[in-house]
Amino acid sequence: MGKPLFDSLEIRQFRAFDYIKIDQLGHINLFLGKNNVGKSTLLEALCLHANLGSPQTIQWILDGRDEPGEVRHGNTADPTVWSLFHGHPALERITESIQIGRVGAPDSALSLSIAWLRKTSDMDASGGFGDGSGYGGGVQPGQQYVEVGPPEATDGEGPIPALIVKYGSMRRVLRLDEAFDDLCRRWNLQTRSHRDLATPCVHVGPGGLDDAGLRSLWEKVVLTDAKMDVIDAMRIIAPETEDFALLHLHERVSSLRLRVKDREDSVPIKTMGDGMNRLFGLGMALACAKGGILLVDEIENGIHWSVLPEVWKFVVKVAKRLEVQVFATTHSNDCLKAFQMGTKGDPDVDGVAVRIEKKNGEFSAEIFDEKRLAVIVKEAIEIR
Amino acid sequence: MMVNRLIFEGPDDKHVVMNLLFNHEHNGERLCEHFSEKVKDGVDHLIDTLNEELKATDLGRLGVVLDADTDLAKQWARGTRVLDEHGCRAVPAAPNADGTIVETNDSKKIGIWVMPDNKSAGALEDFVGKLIAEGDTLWPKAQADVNGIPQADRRFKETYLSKAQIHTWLAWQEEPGTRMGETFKKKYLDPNHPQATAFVNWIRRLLA
Repeated sequence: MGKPLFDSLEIRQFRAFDYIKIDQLGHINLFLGKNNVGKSTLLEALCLHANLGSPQTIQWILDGRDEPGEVRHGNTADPTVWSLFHGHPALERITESIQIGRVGAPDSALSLSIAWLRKTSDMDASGGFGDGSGYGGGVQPGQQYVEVGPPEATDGEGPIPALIVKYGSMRRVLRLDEAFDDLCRRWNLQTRSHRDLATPCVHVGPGGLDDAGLRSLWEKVVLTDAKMDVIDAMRIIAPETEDFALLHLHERVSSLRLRVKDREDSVPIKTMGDGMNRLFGLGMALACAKGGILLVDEIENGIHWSVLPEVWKFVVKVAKRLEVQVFATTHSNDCLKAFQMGTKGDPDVDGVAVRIEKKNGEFSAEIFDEKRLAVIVKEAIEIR
Repeated sequence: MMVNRLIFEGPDDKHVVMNLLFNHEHNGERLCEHFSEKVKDGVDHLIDTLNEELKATDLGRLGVVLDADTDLAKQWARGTRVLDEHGCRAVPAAPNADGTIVETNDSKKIGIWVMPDNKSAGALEDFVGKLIAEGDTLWPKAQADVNGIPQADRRFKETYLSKAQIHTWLAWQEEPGTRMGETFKKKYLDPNHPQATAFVNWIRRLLA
């Protein structure tokens, strides 16, 4: 397997993290750590990076934490984008940028920062704003907005806040006085060269895929070889599984059905228990993350401990074939053991467990490579 | 949940120590109930895995029971190098005769006891030998008989001499074949013997 997309990870000023550095990552990664230490936030950061800071991803992150990405014009309500920034500062006090990238590789970093814009038409004849903003010109022909400093007073028609998203040569300005839907629509109109910078990324939450996620993945899997991987995933606990399909029962109501050996009618997967749903979601997500990254929060959810080693072996096998770098979180010791068993077998696939800790206000990441994991599992040492 | 842990080179060490601790109390509970125990596959294995054991996230206090074998200083250096690397504070150059206790940089207590008594060469069997009551008539005889076996007839290596002696002595007790760990229960050995008390006090200091 080639070098993983993220061989390390460094995050600045993103949500809970003022700074965290993970020096080593492998092809298959398992994040451990106490509740609320930021494991899911790491997945969010990776997802944001893979999607180059798209407004869709920002909205997904904010929605996931009940912080709807709603922005209203003027100063009637603060845009919630500020809650992406560490410490949740008021928008006008955000000075540092969010940085997500590989360790010691500034070129690999995705950067999000806040800027303040004014319409060039508001400028006076001298090329300044005549309001003490100190802006002194330098406007390009056709330029509608220029960057100014943050507003001094919160009332009145102040400058417009914007999120500046930078990655490599890409620089996008998301005006925060616009509706997110508009931002999303405009984002999708970006140039091909910028779109190609994005990495395929599929996220599976603790509860599995939601219906919308399921429908979008189904379209990528149907009539492809990847469908067989999804069937293989389900066969780990239900060997009688033969095929599956997403059936549209009524308008906007779909049901995932399985064909099972020796049964004439199809079976709704939802009747087959949490484990089947989990494995189905994992299989679908993995198949759709080809060449990119798969993010799975609380991967052990719904799966009996005794099949976890098989699940990891499946993940390793398919991830290797499809060149997918996997990041999962867990609270379970059985899952860690199974991870060790599942990753040790293939010398080409590098498995790394990372424990995230917060001590004296600082985040740290302890790396457990396969050699350390072998000792830890054999000696039954607690590392969570 | 934090766990106090005792780590041993092998099963015999564990049985003797845990049975000894069964006979003593701390805060209204038997001392052995304050610890979970872990048995390693020899001293090399113990030292090779000690680094990870020290980092266990559930670790409360850790007690390490080693044999001095033929070279106390060498064994001490091997064990304490791991403690130094882990960032333990004030690790002494030689073991404390009462059993050593150091602290990690996050203030966890780590105890090291080198069998038999933190100052002599030897192993668990020498520790058990020292617990035999003064005036026991069979012990000098068992030692003398084993010592009297001509070199050519000895099937055990020199370092196992005290092992051969203690098992000879055990073979002459009321129930021959009794294992070392069961000697307290069967009252062949006194768990309050001063040598035993020194070990128990080290355990108490580790818990304090």
